[in-house]
Amino acid sequence: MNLLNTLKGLLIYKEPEPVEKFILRENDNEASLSNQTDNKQTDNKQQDQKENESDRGTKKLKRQDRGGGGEPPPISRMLQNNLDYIKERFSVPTNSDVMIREFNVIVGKKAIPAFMVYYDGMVDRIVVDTDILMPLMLLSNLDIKSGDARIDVYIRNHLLTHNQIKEVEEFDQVLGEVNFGGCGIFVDGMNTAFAADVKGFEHRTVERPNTEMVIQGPQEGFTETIRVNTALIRKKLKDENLIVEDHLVGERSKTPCSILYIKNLANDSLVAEVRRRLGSIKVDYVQDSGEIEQLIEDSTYITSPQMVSTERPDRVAAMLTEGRAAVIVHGSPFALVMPTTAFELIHSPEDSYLRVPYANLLRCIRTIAILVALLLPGLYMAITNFHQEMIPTGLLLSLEAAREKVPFPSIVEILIMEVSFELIREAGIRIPGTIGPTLGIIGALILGQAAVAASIVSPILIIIVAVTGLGSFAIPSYSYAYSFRILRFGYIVLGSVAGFLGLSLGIFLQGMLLVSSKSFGVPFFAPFAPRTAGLGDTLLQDPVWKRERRPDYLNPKDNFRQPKISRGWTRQNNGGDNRNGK
Amino acid sequence: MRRIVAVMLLLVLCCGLAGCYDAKEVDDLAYVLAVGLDKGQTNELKVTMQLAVPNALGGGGGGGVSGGSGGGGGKSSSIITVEAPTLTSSLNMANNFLSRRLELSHAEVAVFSEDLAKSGTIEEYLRGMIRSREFRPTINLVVCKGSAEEYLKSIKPTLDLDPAKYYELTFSAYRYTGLSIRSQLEEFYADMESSGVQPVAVLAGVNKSKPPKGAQSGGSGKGDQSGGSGDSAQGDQSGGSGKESQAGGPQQEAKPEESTGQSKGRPQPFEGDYEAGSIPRTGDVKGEIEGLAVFDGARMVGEMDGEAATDYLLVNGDFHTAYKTFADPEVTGTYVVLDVSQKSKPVRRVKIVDDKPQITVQIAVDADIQTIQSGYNYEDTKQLPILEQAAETQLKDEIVRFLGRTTGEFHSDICGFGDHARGLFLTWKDWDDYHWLQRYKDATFDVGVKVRIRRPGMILRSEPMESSGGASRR
Repeated sequence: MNLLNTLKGLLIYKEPEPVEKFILRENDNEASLSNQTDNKQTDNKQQDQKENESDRGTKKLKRQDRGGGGEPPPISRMLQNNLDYIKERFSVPTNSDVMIREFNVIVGKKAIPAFMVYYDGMVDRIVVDTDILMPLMLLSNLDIKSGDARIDVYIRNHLLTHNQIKEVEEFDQVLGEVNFGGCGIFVDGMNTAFAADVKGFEHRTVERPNTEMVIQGPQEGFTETIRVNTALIRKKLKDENLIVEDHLVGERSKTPCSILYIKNLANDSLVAEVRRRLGSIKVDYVQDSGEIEQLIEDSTYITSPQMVSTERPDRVAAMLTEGRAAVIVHGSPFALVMPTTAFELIHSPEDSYLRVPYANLLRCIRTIAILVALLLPGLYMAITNFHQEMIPTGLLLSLEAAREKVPFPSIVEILIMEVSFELIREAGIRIPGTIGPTLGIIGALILGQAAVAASIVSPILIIIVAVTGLGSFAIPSYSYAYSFRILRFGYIVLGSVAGFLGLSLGIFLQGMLLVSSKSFGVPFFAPFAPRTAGLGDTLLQDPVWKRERRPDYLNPKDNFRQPKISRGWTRQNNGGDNRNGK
Repeated sequence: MRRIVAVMLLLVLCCGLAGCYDAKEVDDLAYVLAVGLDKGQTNELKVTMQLAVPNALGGGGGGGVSGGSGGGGGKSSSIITVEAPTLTSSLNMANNFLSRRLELSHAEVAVFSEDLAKSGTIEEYLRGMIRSREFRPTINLVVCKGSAEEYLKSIKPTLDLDPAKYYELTFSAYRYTGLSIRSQLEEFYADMESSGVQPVAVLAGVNKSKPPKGAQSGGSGKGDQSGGSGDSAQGDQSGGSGKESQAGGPQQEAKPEESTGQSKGRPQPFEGDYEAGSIPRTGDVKGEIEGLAVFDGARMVGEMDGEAATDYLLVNGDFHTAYKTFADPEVTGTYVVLDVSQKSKPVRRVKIVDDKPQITVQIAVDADIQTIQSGYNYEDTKQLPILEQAAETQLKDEIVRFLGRTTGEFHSDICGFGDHARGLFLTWKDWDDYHWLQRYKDATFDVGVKVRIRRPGMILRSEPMESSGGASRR
C-alpha cells in the first residue's frame, strides 16, 4: 500500500508548492507607468508587495537626494547635531564598518565631548591610537604652556600630534577624507572639524611590472595606490618643478587622479587641455586608468591608442622630461602619458637602457613585427589567390601540394586558423594560474598538428598564423598590438577579395586615418607627417649624447635638453668640465 | 558617421567592382613549367607543355595528372601535347582534358623546334607571347635541334625534384660556363624588331650519344669510352676522357660525336667545340644546351657552338667567369686551363669607311691559372707573358672567327654593333636608308684582346715531377 502511494506520488501530477519568487523591479516613479500595465495580470497580493517596495525605494531616494545633491548643513557647534548628521550620512548602524568613537578631550580643566568617525580597515589603527586618540585623551593633561584660548586652535596646535591634519568647515570635506581612509574628528563647541589622513588600508607592494618586462633597466612597477605611484615618480625625478595636480573623477567613486607635468617644461596649453578634459568628465564610477583613457582620448574609433599606458615609473619620468603630461589614477597600476605618436608606441622602455646598436636592432625587429602582424595573412591571401606569379615556382608547388587535400577555400582556412589562434590567446589569459601558458602551447601545437592531419588547414598556413601571432606579441605596447590584431582581419578580407588592390586600398585608408588623427593636439604621424625638426628617436634611435632636442612636436618650453657637446671629455681643453654647458 | 559610411562605401565599391572574380586558388591551377612548339601534323602547331605535379614535389602521393598524347613525363612533371592553330588556343584545348586551368606565369622555357625557327614563323607566336599577360618577359627562349617535344620529354632531372629548378639553374649556367647564352623573351623580341641588332636564342638538343651497352663493365662513367674507340680516325674523342679510351669497348653503336674542333684545326676538341645534342656524355637527363641559334629577323639562319657563345658573351660584355682551355704554348699536346673573367665592358667602335662598316672591339680579360698540365713554370714573372700572349692569340683567333661567321655566313649582326653605328647618322631617315642589317655582311673587324693573369691559384711555382727515370717531360 505504502509502495503504491510512493509510485503514485512519482507518476501523478501534483500542483507545485508556491515558492516566493524574487523579481527585480524598477524603483523609479517613472517606471511605475509601465509596471501598471503588467500589474493587470498580477493578483492583488503581489501588487501590494510591489507598492511597498516602491515606497521604500522612494524613501531611500529622498534621503539620497538630500545627502548627495542637496545642500548639506554647516558643521554645527552642537556635537549632537553633527553626530546625528554623520550617523545619517553613513547609515549607521546599517553600515557596519563605520566606526564612531565618542570620547572626551581634556582642555585645561574642562572635559569636552568629541567623537571621531572612520572606516574600520581603511585606517591605520596604530596611528589612530597613538597619534590621535592618545594625545586627545591622555596627553592633554600635560601642562601645556600656551596662551591659545580657542579650543580649535589649541587642539590643532598642541594636542593632535598627527602630521596630516586638515581643519575643515564642511561635512563633505570630512566625508571625502573618511571615504578615502582618513578619520574625521568633531569636537563639541567647534563649527569646524578635523580631518586626519590616517590611511592604512591593505595594498599591493611595489612589484615588477608585468606587461612591460625589460631585461636591463629598473624593475619597479606602479601599484594601485596613487601616492605610492607619485612617490615612485618623484623618486626618479627629483625636481620641485614636477607638479602633481589632484582631481577627483567620478560622482560616486570620487577616484583621485593626478595630472603630472614639469612646470617649466610642459607646454601650458597641453596641461590646460588635460586639465580641461579631465575636469569635464561626468561619470558615476571610474575604476581604472583604462576608463579615463577612453574618456579623454581624441577618437574612440581609430584603432590605435592615443596615449601611452605604462606600468613603469621610469618611463613616465623619462617622458615627463620630454615635456609631456601624465595622468595617474588611484586604483590603477597604469599611468597614462600624453600626447604620443605612432612611432613612440613601438618604443620599449628598454631601448634607452641598451646600447644604441642593440636598441636599433630591436627597433628594426619590432617594425618588422608590426608589418608581419598586420599584413602577413592578408599578403598570403592576396598572393595565393591573385598573384601566383609572384611566388617562386618551388614554393608555389609545395604550397599547392600542401593545399591539395584541404577542402576549403583559403579564406575559410585562414579565418579558421586566425579565430582559433585568438581563442587560444583569450583562453590562455582567462584560465587561472599556471595552466594558462601551458594551454597556450598545448593548444597551439596540438590544434595545429591535428588540423593539418585532418586536412582542414594546410601546414603553410600554420606557419603564417604562428608568425603573425609572434609578430603581434613582439609589439611592446599591449593596446597597440590589439589595434594590429583587429586590423589584420580587415587586411585578410581585403587581400582575399581584391588582392594587392585591396591591400593597397587598406593601407591607403589606414594611412589617411592615422595621418589625420591627433593625440592631444599632436598629429599622430609626427615627426614625419607633418615633418618637424629632429628625427632622433622615432624609427631608429640616436646615441644618448646626440639627443639634444626634445621632440619638436611637443612644443616644450625648452627645446634642448643637453648642450651640443654633452660628453665633456671629448674636448680636451676644458678639462672635462661640462657643467657650464658649452 | 557620414565619413564611416563613405569609407565603407568606398571599400564595398572597390571590392565589388574590382573584386574577387578573378581569384584563383593555388591548387585550382596547373602550372606549366615549359612550353615546346613544333610544327604540327594535323594543324599549324604542336604544343607540348610540361606541367608540374605538385603531389610528387610536396611529398604527397605520387599519382600524376594523366597527360595527353605525351603521357607522364616523370614523377614530378607531366607532359601533354596539343595540336592547335595558335599557342593561346592550345591552352583552351588542353583544358578540355585537364582538370585544372593552365597557368603560364611560371613557365621557365619556351622551346622552338629547329624546323619552326628556320621557317621564320616563330614571329607569329612571339607576338602573342609578348602581348599576353601570362608569359613572363624573362622566359628563356630556346631553339632545339630536333623536336621540342622530344627535348621536354628528355628533361627528367634527378638532381632536382622540380623541373622548374632544373630549367632555372641550367639556363643561368652560362654565368659560369660561358658555353651558352642568355636569351629571354623581352630581349629577343626587342632585338627582333630592332634595326640595329639581331636576336639569338639558346641552342638545345637531345643528346644522341647512346650509353654503351657494356658500360657496367667499363664503370668509369664517362660515356664515350666505347664510342671513341672506333672513331679515333676522326680525331674527335671527347675531351680528356678520350685519351684513356683507346682500349676500346665491345660495342660500336654510338655514332661519332660531332664536334667543331676539327674545323678549327684542333687535334682534340675543347669544351666549347660542341653544339647541343652532340656532347659526348651519359647521364639521366638527355636534354642539354650548348651554343646559340643565330637569327636573321625572326628566321633562324644557323647555329654556333659553345665557343662562339663564349665569344658572343665576351663581345657583348655579358661574360661572367668560366674555365677556358688553352693549348700550352711551350709544351705541345698539353693544356693550360685559365679561370677567365671579363675585366671591363668591351670597347666597341664603329666607323663607316667607303660605305662599309669598320668595327673595332677591344676586350680585356682577367684570368687565374687553374691548371698547367705540363708543369711549365708560367708563374714566373718572366714566363708569364708567354702564356698571356698565347691566350690572347687564341682568344683573338676565336673571336675573329666568330665575328667572321656572323658576317660571312649568317649576315646577322647578333652582337648589336648597329646600336653603336646609329650614332654616326644625323637623322633617323639616314639610318634607315643605310640599311645596316643588310650592310653588316661587308663589315671588317679589328679585334684586340688583352689577357692579364692575376693569380696563379694555390701553387706559386711549378716544379718538374721527379721519378726514377729522371725529370719529367719538359
